[in-house]
Amino acid sequence: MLGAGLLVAAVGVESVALSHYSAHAVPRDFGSVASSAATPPGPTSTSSLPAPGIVPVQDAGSPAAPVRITIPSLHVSAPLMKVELDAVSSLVVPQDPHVVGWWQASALAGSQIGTTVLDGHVDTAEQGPGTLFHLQDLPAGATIVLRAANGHYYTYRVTTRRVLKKSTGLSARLFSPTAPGTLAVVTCGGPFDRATHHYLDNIVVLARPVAG
Amino acid sequence: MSTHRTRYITLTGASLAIAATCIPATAFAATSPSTADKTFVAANEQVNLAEIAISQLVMTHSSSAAVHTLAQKTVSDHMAAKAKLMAVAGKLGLTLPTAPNAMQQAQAAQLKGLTGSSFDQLYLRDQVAGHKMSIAGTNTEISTGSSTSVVSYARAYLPVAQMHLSMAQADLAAISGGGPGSVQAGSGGQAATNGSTDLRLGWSAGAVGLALLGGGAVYADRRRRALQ
Repeated sequence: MLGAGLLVAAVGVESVALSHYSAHAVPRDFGSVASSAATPPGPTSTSSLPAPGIVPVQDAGSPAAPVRITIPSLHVSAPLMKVELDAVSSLVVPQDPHVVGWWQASALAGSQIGTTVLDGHVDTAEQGPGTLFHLQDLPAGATIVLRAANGHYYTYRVTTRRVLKKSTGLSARLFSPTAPGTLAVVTCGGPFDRATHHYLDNIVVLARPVAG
Repeated sequence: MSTHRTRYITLTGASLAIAATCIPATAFAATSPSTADKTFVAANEQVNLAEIAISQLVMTHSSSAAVHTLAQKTVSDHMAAKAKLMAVAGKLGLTLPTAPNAMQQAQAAQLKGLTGSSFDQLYLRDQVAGHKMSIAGTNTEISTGSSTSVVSYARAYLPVAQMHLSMAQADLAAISGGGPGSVQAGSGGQAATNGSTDLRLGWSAGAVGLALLGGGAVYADRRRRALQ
């Protein structure tokens, strides 16, 4: 028994040590990133389509500030608060892990051009898992719904996932102001550095509006 | 003098009459505005109205010299474009819109709520997106428009919009307004792929191991005492 105890204890201690530098089976990337609308809305022979220079408006209503995010397949529903870039261009994350941030200089919910950028905690040391704990598991085709300040709901479908090393920084292509209407949701993932208490990767999920 | 003037008017009138009869009917059709021309004119006027309105916000919401320079340029150029477009519309009997479209109004309302660097980022992002769309619509009008006066207006407007786009893109790059360079959104380590599982299992296994170790020591001690 003494031997078994020593063995199990040793395995446990080794496992704890390994978790600091675990080899991660990171989720795979899928989908593509469109940094600019290939064909911006322009004149067509169909009168119901937008005129040149006029941004089309979704049937769900005019674009408006998003105030709540719902991800049905993850059983997630959380309020949004406005956030901004800090002095080093890092997007501030709401302190409460159960609140998601909306970059206030990004596109409005329901915009058919530009990127609506959200971020939220995967977890915190103090409060455990956050609203976006399972974001990295969200598959292509999953639905994300934004409720806007005007009372309208805007539905998006996941098209793309990227797992990106923080050391290389996030590309501006992910947040293009000229992309066809896109929702970008960002959190952390990948290996965790216990010395700095930071994850080494960012998880970015992109979604496109569902036609109204 | 008077005779000369009368003769001149008569000749001019005759020339115009001859010229009119020489112009094929299709030429008149080509210069009358099509639906696409009318749509472009209306959309472009809304761009002018929106540009003038949101660029005026810069004066009270931004402290960036570069943003102020762009705003002054866009206000000036779009006011000039507006005056030219009004003349074109008047000539063609078209009624111009008096307010920006719903999207432009929503963007203006969003901008009104911001100041400082956030305002600058959004203003420049909107400028880049808006001018790209406006340029696309203008190019379409140039290549497919029917009315010579509308197409002529579009040709004159295009380089101005392209210059605004270049200025906005340069300013956006200078202020890192392309988007967040990083996001620090986790400090718990529980979502580390495999890591959290390893961590929990590790501590659990360690605890079980220590319990077994303790139990084993007690058992060994009792056994040793019993043997004595």
